[in-house]
Amino acid sequence: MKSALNKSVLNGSIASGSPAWVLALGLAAVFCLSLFSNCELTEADIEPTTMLDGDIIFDSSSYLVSDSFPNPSDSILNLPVIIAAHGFSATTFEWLDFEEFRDSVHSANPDSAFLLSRVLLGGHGISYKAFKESTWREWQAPILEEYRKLRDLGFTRISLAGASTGGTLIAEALASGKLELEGHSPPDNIFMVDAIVIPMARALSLIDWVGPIVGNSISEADSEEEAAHWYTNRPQEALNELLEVITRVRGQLEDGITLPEGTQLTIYKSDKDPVVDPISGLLMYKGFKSSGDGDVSLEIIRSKLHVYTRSAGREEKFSSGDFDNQKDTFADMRDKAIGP
Amino acid sequence: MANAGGLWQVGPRFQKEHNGYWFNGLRLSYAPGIIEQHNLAATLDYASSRWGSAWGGEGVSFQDMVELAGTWHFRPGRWVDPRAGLSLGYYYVDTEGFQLYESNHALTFSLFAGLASHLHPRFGGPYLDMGYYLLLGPGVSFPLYFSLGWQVPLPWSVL
Repeated sequence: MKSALNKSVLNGSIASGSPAWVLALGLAAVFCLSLFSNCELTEADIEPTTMLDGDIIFDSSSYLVSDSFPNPSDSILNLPVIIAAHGFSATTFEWLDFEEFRDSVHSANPDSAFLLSRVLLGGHGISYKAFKESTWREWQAPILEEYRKLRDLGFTRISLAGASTGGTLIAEALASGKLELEGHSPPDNIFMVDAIVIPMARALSLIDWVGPIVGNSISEADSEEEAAHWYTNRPQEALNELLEVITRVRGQLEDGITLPEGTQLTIYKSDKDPVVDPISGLLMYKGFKSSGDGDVSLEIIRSKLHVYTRSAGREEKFSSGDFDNQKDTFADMRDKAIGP
Repeated sequence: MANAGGLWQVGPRFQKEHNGYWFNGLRLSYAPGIIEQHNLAATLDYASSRWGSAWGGEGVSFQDMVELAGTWHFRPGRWVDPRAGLSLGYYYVDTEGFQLYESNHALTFSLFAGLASHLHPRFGGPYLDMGYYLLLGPGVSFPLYFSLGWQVPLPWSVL
């Protein structure tokens, strides 16, 4: 009876075999097609006269405190400094609003409040080719370099602020001990503005598999200003680097990251961010541990924007509520950097 | 030889999202009859990051899923049994007092395909699947996943 049953099953399975494999292939096709929903399968499209990606526009202006004050006096050294790092594909333009806030509020003597050192990430602000060839460690390097320079010059009140991927790079630096300089105290404050740990774009998690097929992802700028200050073309190599660093930081948060003694971490996260999943704020809040007098806080901001503090280049999209959010966060950062 | 009551099985399920977290849990499955004779099986899973990446993890959120799936086995009961299916689920993320989303609950929907290996006709596994979430909950952004596990028959299903 058993052999008779086996024989009928064998016959049955051969008969149903071919449509089975067709179905399996069909499913594979469905998976593949849905992977490409967020990307355009095109080569890099560069308009050199208007786009950052081209060779003509080159944001090389230096906004570094170390450049502005190569021989700082004691009164300068006593001022708090905030090192601000921008996000993926962006430039120092992303933190322009913070400088304008400081200048307008403290118009009589802007530097009397705090000094702002806007760092340009490696591979950014140059050209499509430079972006394509850069790694996340190269993006991060200028942050560490400016921090070291300022410590060597004698600045003692230093805070770091990161927007989006800039925040992720600062988190990675903290986890890896890259901000621990012998003989120097740790940063006073870390400010994360919409730092990315979990992206909203699901295609990003697949870029290591489909990257070479996708080639390039185009993110059309909404204004001329944005086209001049953000890369439009995001090559799969750069997206892979982004995936690598967010995966690395996600793992570091899983293990727990202990902040240096006394360092205060403030995480600002917009709740309807179209680029970064709001859970990123919670993951940083849970993953970072304070030590000594330090503290970790999470502020959820009611906003539909990514890097809600940036109005430059998209003022027409900013509601009065958005401007309030921007002002409140800048004031909070300033107050904390200045300290008691 | 006859088993009129259907085959109930249970076992662990380990799921890894590609470039994402581990969600582990339990799977309960049912096949209407002896496994060799039936291509269709239904499964009910509970999987959670609590038993996965959030176990002992610091900066990991608590995400729970309950999924109901229908699977078609192309070579039921054989040593190499390709299968494919779809699953509908309910997902919940614990945002620990912070208002991060309009709703912490979501519906999930995924398609999957893989292989099961029936070491014994009564054993539903080990199995290995690759799947893709066409509908995902908030707080996870890793739609491609791999799940593996094994199934053992529940006592009343063993004859």
